[in-house]
Amino acid sequence: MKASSIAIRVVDFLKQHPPFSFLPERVLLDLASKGRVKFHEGGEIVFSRGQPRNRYLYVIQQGKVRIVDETPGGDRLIDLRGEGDLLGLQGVISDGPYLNTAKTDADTILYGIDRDDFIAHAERTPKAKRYLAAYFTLNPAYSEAEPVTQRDSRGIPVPITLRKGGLLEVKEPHTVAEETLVTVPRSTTVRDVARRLQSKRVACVVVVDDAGRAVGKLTDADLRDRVVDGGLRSDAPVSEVMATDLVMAHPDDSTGDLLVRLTRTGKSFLIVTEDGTPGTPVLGLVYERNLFLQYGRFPTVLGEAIGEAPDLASLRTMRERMEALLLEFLEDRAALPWLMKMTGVLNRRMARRIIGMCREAMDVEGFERPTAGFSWLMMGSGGRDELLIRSAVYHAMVYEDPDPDEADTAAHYYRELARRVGEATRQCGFLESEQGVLAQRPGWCLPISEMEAKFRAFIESPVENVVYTSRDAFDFRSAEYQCPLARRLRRFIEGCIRANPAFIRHMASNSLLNQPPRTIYQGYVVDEKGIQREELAIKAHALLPLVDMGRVFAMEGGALAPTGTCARLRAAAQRLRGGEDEATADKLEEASEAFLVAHFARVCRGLMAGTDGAVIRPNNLDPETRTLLKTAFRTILDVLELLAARHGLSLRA
Amino acid sequence: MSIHPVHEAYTAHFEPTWDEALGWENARFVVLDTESTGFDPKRDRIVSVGAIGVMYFELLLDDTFDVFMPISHNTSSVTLHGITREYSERGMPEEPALCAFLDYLGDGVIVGHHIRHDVAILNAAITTHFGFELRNMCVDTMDLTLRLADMGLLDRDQAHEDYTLDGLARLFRIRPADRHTAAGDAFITGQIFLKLLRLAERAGFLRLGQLTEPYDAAE
Repeated sequence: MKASSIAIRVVDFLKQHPPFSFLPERVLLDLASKGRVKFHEGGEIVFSRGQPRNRYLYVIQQGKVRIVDETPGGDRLIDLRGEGDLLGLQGVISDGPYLNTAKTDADTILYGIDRDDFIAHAERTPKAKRYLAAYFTLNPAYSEAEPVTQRDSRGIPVPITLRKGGLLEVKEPHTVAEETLVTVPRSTTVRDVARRLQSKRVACVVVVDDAGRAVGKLTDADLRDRVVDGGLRSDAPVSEVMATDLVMAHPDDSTGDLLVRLTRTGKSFLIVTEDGTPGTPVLGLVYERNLFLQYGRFPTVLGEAIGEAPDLASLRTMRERMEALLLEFLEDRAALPWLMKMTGVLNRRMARRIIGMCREAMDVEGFERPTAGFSWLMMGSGGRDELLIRSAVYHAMVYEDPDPDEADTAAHYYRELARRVGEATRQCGFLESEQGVLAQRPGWCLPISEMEAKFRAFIESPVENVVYTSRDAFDFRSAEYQCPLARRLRRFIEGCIRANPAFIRHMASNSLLNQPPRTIYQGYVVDEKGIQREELAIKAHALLPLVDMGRVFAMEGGALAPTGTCARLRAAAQRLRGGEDEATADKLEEASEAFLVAHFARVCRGLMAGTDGAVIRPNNLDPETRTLLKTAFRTILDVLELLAARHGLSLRA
Repeated sequence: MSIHPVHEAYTAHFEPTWDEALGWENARFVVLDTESTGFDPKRDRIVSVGAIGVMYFELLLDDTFDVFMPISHNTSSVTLHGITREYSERGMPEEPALCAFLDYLGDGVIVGHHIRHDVAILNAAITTHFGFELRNMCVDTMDLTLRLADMGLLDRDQAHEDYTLDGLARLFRIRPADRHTAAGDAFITGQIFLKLLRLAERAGFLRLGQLTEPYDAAE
């Protein structure tokens, strides 16, 4: 079939408008052939601020759209867009949530163009690229302690960017602006400006008149360009070479306002003046990079705050902040793996702080610290780095085998510590596991050799010891990094499983107990009998089977680590690739994506509803997630069948 | 008599299919237009078919169909559509073209302006080649507009009397494109249909059956 002649109609429109006018026609045809056409009546919302972005960039074919900030006092108009204008490209190149709300002012027809494809093409076309550079600013990738790249479903690295909408300001933007301001009088020589730029380690100086009002600016990039162009005298006054197209900001502008203004003007700097006009003295300089850096550093700042929290009440507040942070950063599924990692880091830091507080309190009360060291094991979703919402925590305490004469005091001390840490964890807003895998239970606070014996019993006699209710204990991570006790326990368990391969089959059989529904139809969950329900037990019917299967595949591979479900499924896929079973490998990779889809749906709905998200209403999901969930159900079922076949088990219908 | 394999493949699309009694928000609509050598399904031949899919209030530009079929004789209608015999000779013969069309169409709910004419002429050709007729549900944008107008859902200044495709395109202020090609008309009809779906939603036509219902002036 040749290129659709319907798409040609869309191309005919697009090519009249920049930046599409800069792209070759065959590229436009390719973009149009994958596009959408949408209609909105006047007064409808195309997208809202904070809503996760979809994959389309919209071009207004006809109609009028208002870009607004929704405030309690009513909408504040930011821009009005008409025929040929773009929607949804505001801000950044990455896929963060929408920064503003777009409302139609009249009947409007929109062409949806795949955003990633468009940007990829635009990047290769100098004119389009220049146009876009003026249209929006690039958001630097988050580049703090954790690695920044993630891979999308095609395995292509995507930068992860973090922004937030102003809920939890680290510093007022104008404070930052004051700190970065360097002013010079007009008569300053270019040489002196260059020196100031270097010594003050800033990228821009503001040129002011006698009254302290901004008349121009000079950036290090401008200087460089002038030097390259030639003809720049180092003794010329800065007023001869400065740029005079300045954009002002008001000291009360929020970070969101500033971001919007930077974005809209395509400038890298905003000059803050007393009243936001050029007529009053300069107070500060807002520097795009600082703004983003400040945002990106936020998780680290929260991490430090957790580490220094003085009491449980403040830890509880930190945890609430973490949730607020998650809700803001949970822009789409692609951000989820990174968020799980970040939350894992913060959760462990929180556990360490709780333990530290409890030990200090026990010191004060006269408890003597045993010589035998210990490890706090986070199990279940906490151990898998999948604990993003108020779902149940599982944990255990394990300590070095004490000398016989210290055995009683060590047991006494660690049980008391486990009781306090468990209680403090609960007070910080974590729920406790229904199965009772909790360190404050005597069975889960043990010296290492007894803990090993406990796991050996699970592995040798899984039925008698009802391993099913304790299976989350196999996914553990120590609150401390590189903990020798946790490593020893993991090696021991792996050895036991190698010696008892039948255990894996038992676990595989347990994994078949929870099955996904057949589909979602018109917002209703449909099970295999065709019964429709309004609610979806997403935890039990989508996440548990995947978590359980991930664990089984990890055991098949002989290693409990990595503990995360996605990583386990992907590791198994990699193992099977290159020979054994390409089809199974593909399925396992799909299953890893399915986990992200289901977890994303659960976490989003859970965070918004303030629940653990175990049961959600598909009706409340966006159609894309709903469709993806349907696919995820099929994948889960396929992998369950695969797993059953591998172990000679049958999957009951 | 054995069933034609094309018929068999077509039938398979309908197990299961949409239910008239259920909502239409998940249904796949196929907005189509055919250009033919004339208006008599028995005598005239299809010249071209253009179609575009609709789901979730969106026209899907990656779900389109567009084919020209060679014609053996020039008739008066040809000048109207601007398709010369020479041009259409670059197209696809009728049988494989219909086969590809049926595969594309599946069980999609057919949407079009005066759709009965298009369906009749398609049926005539499909019967000739494969010995069966279409069983897809159909929405006539003309009938749907009239029913919505009767309910007072078109603005007063919109409620004029011209319900031709050109008239509706003007009424709904659709950007005019090259009229009188199947693909061009399907695209215009598709945009009209998106607007009608909004009105239908407001009229409480939430079930598929309420969209497919013909217009009865006597009501």
